[in-house]
Amino acid sequence: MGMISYRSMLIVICSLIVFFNIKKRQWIVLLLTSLIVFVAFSGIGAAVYALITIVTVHLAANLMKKYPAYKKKLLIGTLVINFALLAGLRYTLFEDVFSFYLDEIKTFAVPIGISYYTFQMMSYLLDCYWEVTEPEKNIFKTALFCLYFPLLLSGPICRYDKLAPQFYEEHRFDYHRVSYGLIRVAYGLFEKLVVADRLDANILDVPNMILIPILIFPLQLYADFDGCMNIIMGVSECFGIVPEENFRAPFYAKTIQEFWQRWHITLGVWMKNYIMYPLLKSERFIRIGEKLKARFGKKTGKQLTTWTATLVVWICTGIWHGKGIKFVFGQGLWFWLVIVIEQIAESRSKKRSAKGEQKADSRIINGLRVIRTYLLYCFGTIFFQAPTFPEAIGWITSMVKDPYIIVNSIVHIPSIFINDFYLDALALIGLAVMAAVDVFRYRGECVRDLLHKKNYAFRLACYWLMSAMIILSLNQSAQEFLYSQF
Amino acid sequence: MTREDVYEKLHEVFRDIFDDDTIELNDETTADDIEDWDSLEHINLIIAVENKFGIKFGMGEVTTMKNVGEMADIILERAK
Repeated sequence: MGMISYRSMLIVICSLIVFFNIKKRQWIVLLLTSLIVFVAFSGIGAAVYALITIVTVHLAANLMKKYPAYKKKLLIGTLVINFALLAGLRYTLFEDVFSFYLDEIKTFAVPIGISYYTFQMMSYLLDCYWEVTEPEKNIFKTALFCLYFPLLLSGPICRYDKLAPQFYEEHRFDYHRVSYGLIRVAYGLFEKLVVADRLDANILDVPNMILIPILIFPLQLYADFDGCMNIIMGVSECFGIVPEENFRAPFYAKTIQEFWQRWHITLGVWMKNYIMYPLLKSERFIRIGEKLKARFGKKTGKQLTTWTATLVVWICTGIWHGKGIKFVFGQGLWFWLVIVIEQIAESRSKKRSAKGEQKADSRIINGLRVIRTYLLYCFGTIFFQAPTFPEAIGWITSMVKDPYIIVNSIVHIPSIFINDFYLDALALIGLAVMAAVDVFRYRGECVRDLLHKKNYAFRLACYWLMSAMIILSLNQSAQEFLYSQF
Repeated sequence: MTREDVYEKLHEVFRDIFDDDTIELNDETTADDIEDWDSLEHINLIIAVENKFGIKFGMGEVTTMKNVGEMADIILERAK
């Protein structure tokens, strides 16, 4: 079952009707809908894996409180079981060892969104271990936190204390809230159907013009992933449950570091809270830090320690995206390297500004920084896009060796519209709309609030145009979301 | 140890970590009030505060501490 389908829509509508018509234990409706959605997406076989995660985490979280002496063992055991399961299913690391059984193993489907719910459950387990949150006594409530259906496909990866309490509050039907949620769903559909799928259908298929797909792929990825997020958040907002935000206009970031604070935010926060902080606070790292400070001086020593920890974080981020060096480099090491260089440059520029040599940044300089950040991100996604690491290197070397490819790509930009000028023009208008909306999102303003303050005719025109563009783009079935493969 | 003593020491640590002698702290001070206090500097700050007071913050406290006031509360609690 696809996420953008009549069946999905029907499930959400039925669930909303039942949800608002019962007064007590509304969370049971959410749990039942989540189970239906899980089985519809992943098949009944995959439920075994989700069940293992729910049962192990639920038992460990409660036993840790009851038997503090075994806290650490319970934590490590549960982490090992769940990460082994994730690695086994996502990366089939055991292919060689269990090749004999592999066919049988593969008769069970891999649960959709397994990386998202595993990370979310591990965050809950660690929060229980650190006593940030109380363990949930009811296993069905733990199951709801794991499988809450809007977040099942692609996250965001939410913290227990921020998400779970919302399930058990009373939610009455509120026209304003539901209409706000639906507007967000419509904007998500707009990003996905008008922009992401069009870029995918035509522009990326142009042969012998490597540069164009490389430059356009991040936009497609963003329209796809942010579109998916807006649909998810909009559906959840209709129920009165507001998950954490995952995007804040990343393509207006002036540095790669800022970019990653605005792109897939909840994954970054997860890595920070559950990998980077525990690493830097560990005795071993504190000792390494002291040695480095003694050897290189206070400031450099501190930076070197932080960079070592962030190196581990970025390798993990790379591995999260997929198996093999192409992800470890393209979505990990590359960004780590750029951020380290950015931090060196920043500390130098601070020294200069302390001496009074630096002038205030102009809009042009900031604009150039935004372009530079985009190009640096494009470079990383070459490895995401290319089928293998050597092929990605091949693309890069062919452009370096033969600059004609770059010229050829630029000259042939108009030819990408030959296939279907009408729909591609819609995609370009869609991109312009997204760029305008993101100006407000970058400033942290709610675009729906801003629209709500405008007069009725203006609002109606905006919603009508958005709906018309979605309907005009509906002559093709929606592609699967790129990030649902994780 | 009084709250004033805690703040005196906290001022020393903050000014040293962020290399800024003009930093003034109060219960409401958060990462938004100090320019260089980002997620990377946060953990360096925590370790420096731990060393200064000879205490340990729990990992949960590290990620959920909302302002300097909460930090001072934890320090006073541990130093009892």
